[in-house]
Amino acid sequence: MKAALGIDTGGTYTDAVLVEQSSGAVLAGAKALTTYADLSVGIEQAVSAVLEQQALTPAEIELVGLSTTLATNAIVEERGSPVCLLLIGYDPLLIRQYGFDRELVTQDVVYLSGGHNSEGDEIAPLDEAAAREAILARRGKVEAFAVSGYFSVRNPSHELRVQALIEELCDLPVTCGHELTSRLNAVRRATTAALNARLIPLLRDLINTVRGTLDRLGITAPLMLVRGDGSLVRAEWAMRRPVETILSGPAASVLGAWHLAGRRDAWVVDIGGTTTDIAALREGRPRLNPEGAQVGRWRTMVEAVDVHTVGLGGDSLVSLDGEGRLTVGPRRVIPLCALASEYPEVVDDLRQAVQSPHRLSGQFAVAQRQTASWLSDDDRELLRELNGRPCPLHLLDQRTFGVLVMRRIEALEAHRIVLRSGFTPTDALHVLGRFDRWDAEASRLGAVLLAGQLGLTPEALSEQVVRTVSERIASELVTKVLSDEGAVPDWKQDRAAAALLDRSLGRASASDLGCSLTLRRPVVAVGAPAEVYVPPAAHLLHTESLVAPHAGVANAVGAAVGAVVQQAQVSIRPLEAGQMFRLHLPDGVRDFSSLEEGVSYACQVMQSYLQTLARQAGTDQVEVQVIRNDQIVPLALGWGQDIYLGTELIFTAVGRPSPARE
Amino acid sequence: MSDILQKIATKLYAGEEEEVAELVKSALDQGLSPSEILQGGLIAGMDEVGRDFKCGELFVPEVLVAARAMHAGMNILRPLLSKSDAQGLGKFVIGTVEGDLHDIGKNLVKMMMEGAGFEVIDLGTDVKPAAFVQAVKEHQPKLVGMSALLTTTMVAMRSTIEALNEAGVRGSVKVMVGGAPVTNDFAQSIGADAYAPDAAAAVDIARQLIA
Repeated sequence: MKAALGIDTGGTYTDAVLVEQSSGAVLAGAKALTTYADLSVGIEQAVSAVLEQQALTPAEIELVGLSTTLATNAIVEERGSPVCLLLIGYDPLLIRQYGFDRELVTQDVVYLSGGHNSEGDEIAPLDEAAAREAILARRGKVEAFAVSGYFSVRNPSHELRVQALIEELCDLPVTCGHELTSRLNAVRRATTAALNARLIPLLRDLINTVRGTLDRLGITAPLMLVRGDGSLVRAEWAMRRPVETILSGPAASVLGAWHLAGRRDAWVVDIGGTTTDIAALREGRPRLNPEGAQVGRWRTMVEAVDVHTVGLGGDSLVSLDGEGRLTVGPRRVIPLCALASEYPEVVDDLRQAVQSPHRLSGQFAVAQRQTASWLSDDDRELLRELNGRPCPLHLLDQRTFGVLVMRRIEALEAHRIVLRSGFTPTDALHVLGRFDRWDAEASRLGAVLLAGQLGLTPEALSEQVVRTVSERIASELVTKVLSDEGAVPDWKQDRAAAALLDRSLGRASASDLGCSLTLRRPVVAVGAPAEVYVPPAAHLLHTESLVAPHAGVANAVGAAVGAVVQQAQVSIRPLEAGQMFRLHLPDGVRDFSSLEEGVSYACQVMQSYLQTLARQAGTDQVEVQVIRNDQIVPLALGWGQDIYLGTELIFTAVGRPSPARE
Repeated sequence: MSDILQKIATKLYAGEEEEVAELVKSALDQGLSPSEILQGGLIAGMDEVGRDFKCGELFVPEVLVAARAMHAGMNILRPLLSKSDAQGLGKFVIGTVEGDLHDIGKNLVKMMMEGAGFEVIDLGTDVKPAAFVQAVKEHQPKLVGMSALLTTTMVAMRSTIEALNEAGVRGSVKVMVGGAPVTNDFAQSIGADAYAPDAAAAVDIARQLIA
């Protein structure tokens, strides 16, 4: 039997699945905790677990698909190696004036003369001598180069020449702007190229480690990575273009939803421990954001899945806000039941808290690590107090750490040195008996503490927590759909809109006005707690909900079933009042005297270009399709027929990943 | 509205250049502030001109003549206006695109926009895309307007918008296009924010775009 191994490293859990190639059936699935500092540890645990479940020999695994948050995390946390950004034909004064230099990712920026215009004509010769000098000066000082040229997407020749120089003078990886996108905005292209260069060593390390892990387990199948658009690429490709793997987790979950639920058009809601991701599945593929993905503070030009992320998950902290209202998230904590399973004394602490409740009762701080080089002495003392066992927060408050102790704890939390524990939706489910994996008594006591402040029974409180999560999901779906359709809601400012939303969610039963909102596509739910929270949310929006089988490991399934999809674009524009036609190809420009001559040349050349690209990306059997878009606009009355603005040819190659290893 | 401001507006509408200048001086003597005179006299008068031009009651020559009267008044007020008053509604960069030398329409728009209280920077004719980008960088206007009168030069409007996009500054301005062969469809296909069929419409659209 031939199977594919799918692996997904998420914010909380790392999942692994085995999917049978021919039937698409999920043979086995397993989860391990994501080992944030070194992802490969959690990966090894999850893969070993799934191999144990299913009596499969490693030789039967034909393909390994990996979706990882490494790129996204590294970008958000501003991690990465030193890189040099070479800009060709940019205006440094304009960049500084508009503050664009803050968008360039690295401080090491070199401005070179050169560049093109929108027609692809050279506006200044490339200063090769200066490029050479800059490159030589940085040998041994940077780990990668990024090159971005003005209008390089209309004519990449200057970028290509600098790339050749770098390859000649040193052995470092180079990223060119025109390789990552064909869209305009030189600043954002530079951002994307620089981010890519910065990620190369990080992803290379991960891939090498994972490859080592797979080899140790006897798995020789080729390793492929999931890109943010849901497609797969060979590891070697991902090592050159790591920035394309951002948002691969959400993309994999949409693909997993399609594979498991069998619907080609739906809204996919993926509930994890920390966040809920909402994305659209259209015609069997994740819908992409053509404006480019925003990751952290960076506006990239990577066309990845258009996902709406909310800080709401199964392990979100449930607390009361300033006005005594129940809020869930965005902070993620260790559920009380899970904490108590590992540290039974927590139950006693909670019992004591119930006897004499305090503002911070029901929350604990747990030290993850004992020390880090940059900690202050006060922080170190604090950690020693925590001493590897959970400490009730209100006890910390009373000790001699000063009034800023909570602030200090939060700072340590931000660096993952301390984790918090508190009441979560997972605890609510334990109280209601709908989930019994951990210590339900701890959950019940936590519920008593919260319920007491609201005058409810623990069960009623738990029901309300579950209902709150479902209502939030429904309202986030509404927010996403409206935003996509150009009507971004501002629930805080727009009181009428908020009132209508409340009525649609059943929150204003005393009102004379009811409101009913209908989502016109079904909702497919994935993620471990999906079946609890999503069906009621879909019900509020009067639409069908499908909880995917194996919902808990849908991301890993998506990583195993993806296809290789490569795209390239060629634009043709009229020159000299329609006498000539200029083709903008991936390696340069070419002029023709007739449009159709240009189009057939493009089709011919791009067929083999895409075959090569697809093969490099990891598939042998490709189908290349062309979509042609002629832009012809009518002129004003009396001015003649129409004006021809140009033709876009979009080439797409799709293929199943090849099992054979080179 | 005060009596003298009403007179200024009326004389402006009638294109009485010298009388407008005299009345503006009188108004200043009477103690009215320059910006009051600008808003209540000159701009109010040009508003009427624009309205009647749009509905076909006034024609281009009459508009030109009224604009001249406006200028006469402006010349007196300009040195007295504070920087913010002079800028008024904002800066507007205008030019005829590369390869095109027509300027009558552009000049009309320029006058109407000044009359409406915009500060207009006129780049002239045959303006290359890079020159538009430089002007945006230098003046940081709210609006950019482009004019073309030939089917062969219209495409340069797209090159300009692309140059603004490539420079990263497209989002910082609103772009309007106009000219006899230009249409709304064309404006949308090239990524402009608006199309103005004539100079009076240009003013209304400009106001909406910056609102």
